[in-house]
Amino acid sequence: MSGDNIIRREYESDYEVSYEKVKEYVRVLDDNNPYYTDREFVKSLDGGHPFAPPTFAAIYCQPALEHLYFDPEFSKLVPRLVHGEQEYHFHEPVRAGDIIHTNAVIDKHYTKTNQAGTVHQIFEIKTTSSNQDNKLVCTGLYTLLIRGE
Amino acid sequence: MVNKKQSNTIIGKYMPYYYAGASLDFNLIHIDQDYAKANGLPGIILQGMCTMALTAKHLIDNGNPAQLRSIKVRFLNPVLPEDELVFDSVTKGPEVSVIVKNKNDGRVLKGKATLK
Repeated sequence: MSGDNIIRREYESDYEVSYEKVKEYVRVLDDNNPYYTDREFVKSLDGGHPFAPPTFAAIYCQPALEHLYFDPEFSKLVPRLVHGEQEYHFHEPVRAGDIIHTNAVIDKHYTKTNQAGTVHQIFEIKTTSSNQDNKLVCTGLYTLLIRGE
Repeated sequence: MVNKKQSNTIIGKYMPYYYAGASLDFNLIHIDQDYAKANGLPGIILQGMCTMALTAKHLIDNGNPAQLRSIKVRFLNPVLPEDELVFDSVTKGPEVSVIVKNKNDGRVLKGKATLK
């Protein structure tokens, strides 16, 4: 089956988290949490830099996933791609100035048949992200569904 | 102790464009009406990751973001610009279950999270 040949394929990326990018991201969400936006407030807590929201994982994992989306074996499936499920486990908090290394691996590939008899393909992508101190910050599981024709 | 919380958000008309700019998710189903319709959608849809981010915002609620230890969501139905979403969460100890409904049209996301 098309897709089986890319199982276990891995993609890597580095992403530098900037305060300005975090502010852009939370502005879209209309999220005014001072942990993200108020540098002085956060400095008064522990002297450190502002935090990134946990779901900023979608941003720092994106470059590794983009390597997958542009993989010639996978890119032909992208027009029929639907994001089915998403899971993240958070460890060390991510803060402005961090450099996050992400590894994404195609962990599983299988098919599911719906009630109408259409066969969908499912890809499960595991991500592991660590910071510049080699501390684990996030593991993710992306369940991507390729709609059957 | 069981804690219930509800919040509402109206998805702005241009939110898929703004989220695309912030996330670099420029999949055409989020920004091109003709392309979205040609692919069987009613029009451009919001990025699922944006609905998830709004769910996490509801859970963290201006508190310390490090309290969110995990989140797992299933995307049930597309979210369209100008939809009004209702976020309902039930917290028992560290475990949270969350449902996001579209005011007009049923559930769009269900999920679980852990808070510290």
